Amino acid sequence: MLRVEKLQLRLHGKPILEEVSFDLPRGKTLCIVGESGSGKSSLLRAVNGLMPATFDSLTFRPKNGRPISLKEYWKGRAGLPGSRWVMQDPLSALNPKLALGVSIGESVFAQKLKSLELKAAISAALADVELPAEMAKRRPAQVSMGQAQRACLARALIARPDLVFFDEPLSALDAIVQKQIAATMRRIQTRFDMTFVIVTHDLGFAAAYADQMLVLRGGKVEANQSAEMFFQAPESDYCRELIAAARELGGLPETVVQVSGSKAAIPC
Amino acid sequence: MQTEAKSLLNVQNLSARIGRQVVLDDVSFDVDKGECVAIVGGSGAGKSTLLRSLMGLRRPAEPVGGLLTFDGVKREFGSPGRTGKPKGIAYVPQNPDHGFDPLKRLEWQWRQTARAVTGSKDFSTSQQVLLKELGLGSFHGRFPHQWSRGMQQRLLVGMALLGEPNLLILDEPTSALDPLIAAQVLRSVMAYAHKHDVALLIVTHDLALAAQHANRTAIMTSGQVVEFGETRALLREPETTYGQLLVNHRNWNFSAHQKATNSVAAE
Repeated sequence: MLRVEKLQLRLHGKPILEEVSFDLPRGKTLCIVGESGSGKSSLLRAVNGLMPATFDSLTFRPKNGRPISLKEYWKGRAGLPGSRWVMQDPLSALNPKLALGVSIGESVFAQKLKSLELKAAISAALADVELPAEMAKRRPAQVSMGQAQRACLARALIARPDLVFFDEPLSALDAIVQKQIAATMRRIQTRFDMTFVIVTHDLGFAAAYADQMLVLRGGKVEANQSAEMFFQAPESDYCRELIAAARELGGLPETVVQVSGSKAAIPC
Repeated sequence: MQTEAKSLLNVQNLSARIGRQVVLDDVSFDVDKGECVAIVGGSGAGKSTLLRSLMGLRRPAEPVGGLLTFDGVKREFGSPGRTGKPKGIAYVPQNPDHGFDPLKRLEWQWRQTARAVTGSKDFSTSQQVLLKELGLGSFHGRFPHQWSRGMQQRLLVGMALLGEPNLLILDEPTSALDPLIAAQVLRSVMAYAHKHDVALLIVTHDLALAAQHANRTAIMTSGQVVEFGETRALLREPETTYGQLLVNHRNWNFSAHQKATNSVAAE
């Protein structure tokens, strides 16, 4: 569904990304892992046409459609058709002056829905992320971080995107809320058959969520494997070090069970 | 009494308020000499308020009662006359961005700290040894942003250790760093603490991290310490529901526990 071949990015003569390739099938999750400054965020931006990258080919196949060559698509615009973003800090991602419902509704502004339809769509999106409908009237400052992040999720979800980009979606939240939101993410992903690209630091989360792993270091690909293989037999020494460090911090247990979207995974 | 000799920090019945809102409610715990204690809780549990009270800061939350015994010296939390941090406690902020002035060279900031603590601006050999132990070299006239975050964080630890504290407080030591560097920083701090018999108080939302390093763990929620005891015992048999929730969710392999709680709920 999203296929990138030999993506290169140079800024001010400095190489930022070198020969990054990956191929992500529909309905799967790619986790991008790497230390700060390794080019994770630049990769997300480059794939969305927000940075002057060069590549051999970059194709995107939307649902029920022909593959699009993005070189053509990006003449005069950016982004991928029908994709959405969820950012790290919900409080800076949401407009503090707008009620959550308004922020969520803006995501489908282009569909020009009638006000009743829009209201119903917003309530449905809130229900999908397990927020009560009256949350639509609250402002970001009046809800908890977890609820605000769920609202961001609803804002992405309401547009029924094919592909959602997450930039560290859980790192601003505490341990219990992280797991609850991960279960919600899994549930909506399977229900609407969405594809996720997630940038994260947390190898424990990656082990529990990802289908594919892409490890970056200094702009170069250190590993591009299925998650299962990555945690059993990592491709490089650097990846082994990374896994050992995560174990040392207690964030990565010996056995990891994949996050399930079933209601049972939510404790309260 | 033997326990007195072993105990380094003892907090009894600390309460604090912001206006009328109670943010800390009857918090008691203690840290022994050379021990590593973790305080674990979600956002809004009162962890930061507890730290600020220990440091002698009275805003935004004002301590209204409680007794602090540090290294044999007692002080009332509630008495307004005495403010300031007890000597022998050092603090490492969560984020290196908060710890350094971005416009001043690292060496200048280090010397200022050294002057405040030791009274002399000299870059003594003991300081060089300290930096070496943390895996840092010389400053080369660098500014904070020219060092990696891991190095910055270790330098902050170094600055905290300049005053040769008995107790080092680490506020979320791993959350601003990626795992490779976080593990490195923790390893150097642990090695130093072990060698020089410094007690550690780690404040974190991550029980998995506490499980890995702490001898004893306190679990906080809504301003109260609900459990405090040996980390291992606590992981095996948490007594409160919140404790169970945290223990079950400390790792990403929670579905096994989930089945158990689910069947209980079904009954």
